[in-house]
Amino acid sequence: MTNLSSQRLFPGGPPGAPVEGLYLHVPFCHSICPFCAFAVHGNRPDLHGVFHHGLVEEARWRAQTLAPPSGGVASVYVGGGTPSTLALPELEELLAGVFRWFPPAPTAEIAVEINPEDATPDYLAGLARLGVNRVSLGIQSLNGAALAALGRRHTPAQALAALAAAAEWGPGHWNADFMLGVPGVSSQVFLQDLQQVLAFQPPHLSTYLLEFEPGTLFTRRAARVRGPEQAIEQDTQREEAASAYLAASRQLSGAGWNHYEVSNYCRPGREGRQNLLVWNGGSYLGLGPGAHSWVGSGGGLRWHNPRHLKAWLAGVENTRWGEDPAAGWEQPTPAQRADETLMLALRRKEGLNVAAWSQAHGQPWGEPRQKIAQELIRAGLAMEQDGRLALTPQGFLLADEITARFSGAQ
Amino acid sequence: MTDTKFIRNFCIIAHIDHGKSTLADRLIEFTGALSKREMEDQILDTLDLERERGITIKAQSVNLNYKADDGNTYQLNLIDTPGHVDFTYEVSRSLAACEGALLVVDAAQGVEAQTLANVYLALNQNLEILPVLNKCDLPNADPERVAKEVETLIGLDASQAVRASAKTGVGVKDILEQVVKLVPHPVGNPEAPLAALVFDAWFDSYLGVMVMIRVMEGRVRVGDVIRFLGSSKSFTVATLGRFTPVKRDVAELGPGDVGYLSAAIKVIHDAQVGDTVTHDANPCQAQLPGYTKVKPMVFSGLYPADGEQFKDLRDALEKLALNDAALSFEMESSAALGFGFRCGFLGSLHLEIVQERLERELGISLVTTAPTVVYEVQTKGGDLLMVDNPNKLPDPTKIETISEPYVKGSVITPTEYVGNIMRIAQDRRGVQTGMKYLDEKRVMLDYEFPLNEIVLDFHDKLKTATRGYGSFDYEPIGFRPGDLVKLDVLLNGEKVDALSLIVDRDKSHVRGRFLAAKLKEHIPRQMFEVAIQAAIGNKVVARETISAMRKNVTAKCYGGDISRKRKLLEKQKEGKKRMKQIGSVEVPQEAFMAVLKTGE
Repeated sequence: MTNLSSQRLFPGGPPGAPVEGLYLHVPFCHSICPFCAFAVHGNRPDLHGVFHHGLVEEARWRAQTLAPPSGGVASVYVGGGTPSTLALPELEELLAGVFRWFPPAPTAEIAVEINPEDATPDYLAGLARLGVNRVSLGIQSLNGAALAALGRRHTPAQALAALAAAAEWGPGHWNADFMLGVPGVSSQVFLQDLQQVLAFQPPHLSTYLLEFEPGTLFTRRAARVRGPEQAIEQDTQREEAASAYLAASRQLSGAGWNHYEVSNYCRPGREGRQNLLVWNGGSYLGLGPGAHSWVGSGGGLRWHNPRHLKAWLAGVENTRWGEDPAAGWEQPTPAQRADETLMLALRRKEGLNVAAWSQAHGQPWGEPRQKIAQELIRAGLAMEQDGRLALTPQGFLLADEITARFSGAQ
Repeated sequence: MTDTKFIRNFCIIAHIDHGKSTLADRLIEFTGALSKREMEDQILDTLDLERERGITIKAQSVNLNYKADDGNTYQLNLIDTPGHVDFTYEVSRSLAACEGALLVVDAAQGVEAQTLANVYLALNQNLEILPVLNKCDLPNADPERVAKEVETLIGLDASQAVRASAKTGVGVKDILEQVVKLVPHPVGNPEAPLAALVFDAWFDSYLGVMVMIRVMEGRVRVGDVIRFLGSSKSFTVATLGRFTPVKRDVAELGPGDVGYLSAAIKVIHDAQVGDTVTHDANPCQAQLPGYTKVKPMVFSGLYPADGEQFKDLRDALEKLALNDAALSFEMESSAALGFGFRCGFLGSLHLEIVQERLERELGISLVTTAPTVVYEVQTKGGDLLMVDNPNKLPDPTKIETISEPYVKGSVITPTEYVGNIMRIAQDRRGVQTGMKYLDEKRVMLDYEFPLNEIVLDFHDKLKTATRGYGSFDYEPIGFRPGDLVKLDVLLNGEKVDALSLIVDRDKSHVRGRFLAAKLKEHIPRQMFEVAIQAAIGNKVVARETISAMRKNVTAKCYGGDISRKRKLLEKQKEGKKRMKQIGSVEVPQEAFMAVLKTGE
């Protein structure tokens, strides 16, 4: 990995590189969830103005060297944080400011993450008027105890109301996020949630196994767990979560859902476009605190913004002096690129096109990898079809381990 | 050339920790060979490892000038001896270079088994033995009791024994006076054909092999053409000299002299300890007595943890072997561990020392297979095979008998631990042949053991069972037939050659169960269930199962996660590199070390 410490080397990224996707990071949250590791900030309506200004400035700066494809960007994703902390007019201005530099294609998918408590029919209708055609609801659970454990502000009733509103929403393209493996919450709860949400006929579902991200309250709590009894309890919990994950996959796939990535399901043709873009190695520009960008041309360049609102704003201010606002850059080596595409492909239902991967990265697949593949297939962790190697849901649960095995074998 | 009347050659016999090195320091300091400031503490132990463990591996010898009370100046040659059971032969050659020995005994702890063994060696060579009761400054010192112990145990008159403290320097002059008065001076005819004993040798990168010799008869000069009678190799003497302890070249060494010799000798095997140096043109009649080619007793496979370090390991072993004639190695390969070396050692301590030097000084991370002795296998076809690797054992149907080496061992322990010792000895197939009370508190137990039973962790067990007070010494007594079987370990049906052992049939089930359980502890969960089996031939004697890993996946993969995930992946890969792949099972290196424990 080449870490380019000098900002002068890549002022604004490689010249003229096309950007297919946009990611706008809204850092504000009504409250901070104990499991979240994103760049977040307690909601401060008085700061919305400077945030808006910064984001548009950043877009302007990036537009000096990056450009949308002639038809416009194909995907826009507003995430966070909680984008729905912004009032509709604020969001409207924000999108307009950014679109001045990076206009969306007429067919673009424009997605916004919203919290259930904000997802009123009015707010949703307002979003549709702004051109937003996909929303993602941070439901997490429909169970009061689980929501409390997750430190969420919304109630089961609010979550159900949000689902009802989404089901009636004009553009019709929406997602609900769920979480399993929450400490102290039975995985049965997750399976019951799933039953309930299906009644709303969502076109897309994300089911995330809870992770202990560094720096979160959950992780600090878990680190305090020392006794053998608690260790066994954690182990049991993991075991339960894994079983629930597989049960969900079996059930949804049986009902015609497409388990198209480790944590994502959709009705046929309803994949999240931003997801696909990122996983397929498409170029995207991230704006806002902590946002990441990737431009694939010229060997590929990745950069990320300062995580803290203040630091990010300072970075954007400094563009006046010709300084790039990013906090760090990375140019993956060819071997690292090979690892990345391997890792991303094995997380997908369609899996890895072995020959294409080999050719693209100049690495023979080789006997040892083939042997591992055969073992995985025998154990029911993978399948091979038409030159593609894909993990089964059981394999998805071990995706990191399997990727490391393939990557390390030569 | 000094008149032999004014030469005294002596060594120090002591148990580890009884103060040999400290006393040597004091003698050097007292005779003024080095000022205190010049003195590096414990100057005789030069290798770091030796200093750390308090064990002298390579003998170093110094030449001291001492003006005695009788007004004469004497040349005192202090010959250092290696201090561990594995090095008995080297000790015996050092002793053969001397006329006297200081028997240093800790006045608090008393005589130990290993000291005793060395005293017997010295007595066999008619050395004058001067007991020294050391550490008399300690509050719990009991010189009277220990003096009595020396008398009853060794039959030496200890009434004259110097009460000393090497630490404070008390008694040092008395010791030197006794050496002058009581140790016989060497005798030898300077005009006779040269006969000099090699008692130490090491490799010096500038001079080649440095040989420490004791001249018995005749004299040797720089430029002489010499021959080693044992190896039949001839060389021209390049330098001669003494360590005072600073290296000082001389032109000639004569009878009774102790010093070094270099002759552009490239291989240490050409100048082995115990060999005789003579003139090529006018050789002495016979070789000096006691020469034996050193023979490794314990074998183990040494493999680089990282296969890419194979060449480094080879270079390192070659380097060590330059200085260690007892270390043998030849390339071997293992399906589990890749390429490595089958190495032969004098004993398990020698193995540990080599292992540590490779890892610590030469920076090679090793995977070591279980040490094994050499088995004598009589096949039905009438062949006699020497087997130093369990995997070379012929098919059981083709074996007439297997014999294993036995040793005679003695343990000295405080009486309250006798029961513990007996229990351990019984576990180790030991047969008691004698028991002798040294005094009311200490006892010596004699045993015959299969060597195989003491190469693993016998020392540790003994120390634990006696709270550190027990000591042990052994010597080989030949091969005896046994009921031995090969115990294999299988992971998901695949035999792991590096884990095979030859064990006593009666112990094979217990050993197998323990081994399987240990492996289960050390092998992490894998993508699939792993079956660990211990088997004798086709018969499985133990089984453990490691259930499959349930979950190892990052749930979210947003744009910002890609490089983070890749870094995680790189870390995981790094971890996997340190694993050995056996079939589909990844085995961490620690697992291979599980066989180094017996589980008693």
